[in-house]
Amino acid sequence: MTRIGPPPKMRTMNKPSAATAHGAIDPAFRRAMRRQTRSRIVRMRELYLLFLIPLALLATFKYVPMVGVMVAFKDYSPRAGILGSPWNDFWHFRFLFSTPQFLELIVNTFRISLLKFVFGFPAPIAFALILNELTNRRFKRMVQSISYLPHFLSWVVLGAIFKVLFSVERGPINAAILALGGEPIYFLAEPDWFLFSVVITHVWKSIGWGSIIFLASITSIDPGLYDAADVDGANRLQKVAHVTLPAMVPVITIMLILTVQNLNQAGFDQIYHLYNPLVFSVADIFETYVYRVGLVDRQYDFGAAVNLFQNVVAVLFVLIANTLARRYSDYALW
Amino acid sequence: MTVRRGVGSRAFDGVNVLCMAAFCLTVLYPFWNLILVSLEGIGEVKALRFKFTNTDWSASAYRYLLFDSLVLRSYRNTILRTVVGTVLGVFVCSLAAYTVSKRELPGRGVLTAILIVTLFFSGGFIPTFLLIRSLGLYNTFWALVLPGLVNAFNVIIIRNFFMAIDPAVEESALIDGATYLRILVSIIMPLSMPVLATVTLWTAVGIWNEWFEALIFVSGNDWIVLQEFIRRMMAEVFDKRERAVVDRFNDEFGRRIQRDNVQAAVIIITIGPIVLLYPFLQRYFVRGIMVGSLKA
Repeated sequence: MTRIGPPPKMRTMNKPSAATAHGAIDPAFRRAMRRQTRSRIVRMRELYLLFLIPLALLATFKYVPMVGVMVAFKDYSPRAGILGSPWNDFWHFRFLFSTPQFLELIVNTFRISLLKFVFGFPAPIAFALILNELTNRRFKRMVQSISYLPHFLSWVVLGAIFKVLFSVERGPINAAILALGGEPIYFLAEPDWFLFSVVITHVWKSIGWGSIIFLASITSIDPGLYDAADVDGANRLQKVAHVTLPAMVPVITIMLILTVQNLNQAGFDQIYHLYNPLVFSVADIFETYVYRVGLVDRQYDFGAAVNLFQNVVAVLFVLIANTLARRYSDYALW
Repeated sequence: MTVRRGVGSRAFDGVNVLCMAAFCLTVLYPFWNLILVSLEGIGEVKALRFKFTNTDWSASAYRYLLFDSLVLRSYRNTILRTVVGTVLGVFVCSLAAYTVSKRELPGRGVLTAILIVTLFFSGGFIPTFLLIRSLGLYNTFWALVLPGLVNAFNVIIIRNFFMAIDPAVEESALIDGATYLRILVSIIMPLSMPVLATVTLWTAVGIWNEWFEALIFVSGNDWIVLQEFIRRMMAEVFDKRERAVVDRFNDEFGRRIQRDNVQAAVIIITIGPIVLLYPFLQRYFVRGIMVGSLKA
């Protein structure tokens, strides 16, 4: 029968003392600790076995592709495979940096990402504040539940829905515009309107779910603070400004850090399902470019290079965001 | 304490309620519009207008869905993929979570690091695509399931819950001679139902909505999933085939459905399960992030 549980002798044995007279680690202690560790490894070996399946999956589907990234530095030939293909001296990167499209990709990616941030970051906060002011609890919960709904739908579905909604032939929105005497708007075909549509649909989808964490922080505010504000004669607006908002600063800061880290991602899912060649000039971002050129056009090596470039930029963003956060606020991810 | 609400305050309340109600309508109306379009009958006037209700109703579009074998196959594949992916995924993540939840396990830090690294770094989808191809998994069912099985985020969330379980329960089982696997399955997991339910829901919805891997890891019609069907529909890849099948349906059953009716119906059946189950399961989702974020 396998011995399970700490060997009885170990429990009663005195722990060897760590320090010798000179302050160095007693070699006898080290040996004893290593023996203890080794016996634990043997004892808990089944746990390592259990981890083997997840480990194999991780190694295969997460770590091997990490190594496979080297295809970005090679001239890939399907016959030779990734390992057999020749190194190409950063050619893909030199090519990427020299095409005019590179600048356009950067501008598009950051423009969309910043627009979404400027409108999409405050929106859930404002929504949480306003939602909090609702007095009827059942109505409030109903609004909340309804507001989360778009979060659970994929952009495939939402893209299809919005293509119908924004359509110039059958869309109810253009119908309403016409009824009010206006001209039909090509929401998804005109570059400026496209940006508008991207931001609006993004806010629509994320405002409900995004407000959860802010609402949670609001509900954890000590009611005594509000009573004190009442005593000082504050009206509702002042209470929000001087009690609610300051109490939300920690949560807002953390969410800010988390969001800023992703500023180089403009949202592939959404863009891919809303864009079309007419708006490539504003809508083509890194990820859509990588998809089209790298996968559809089968330039796997070049696509991987562009993707790698974007990921490196993302890591830089994370590092910068965290360093700034640590220096200028009390909150950071590590 | 009596709350004295001045006129301005009450006016704000009123406006607030109106705005919130308007917001709810903007969320609900697109789906109502879709339902209407999917149920349009022959006599329906197709003009540019704001639809509140149909003048002529018909379930032909849904009848068509039973007729189009590709739609049926997409539905079957999606359900299969979701069920297998969720059950296997949660189990595999629990295996990993259990191992790294043991504080006294030597090398635990290394194993956890192996997990966490995958949260931040990734090879990208092109190397993964090339890997799938070279493994011979391209265009197989397993390409839709295996890559996403181990999700480090889920592992961490489950791990945190496991770590909060009283060790005495495990110790007594160990003394009684149980294996770790037995303990995990018979004791730990039943005790962890809240977190497992949440992770199961998250995973299931995620897989149901997953479209990109379904797009790049398989092709053709064998392993098409619903999201991919919709994508092809909207990308107008289907035009000729779709028109042919719709025409055949119309001839055979004497109906007159059109493409947009079919599109609307497909979208409805795709989001149907989520929307229907959503009111009942919603609090698990919400509770889940709170538990996950607080404990992590």
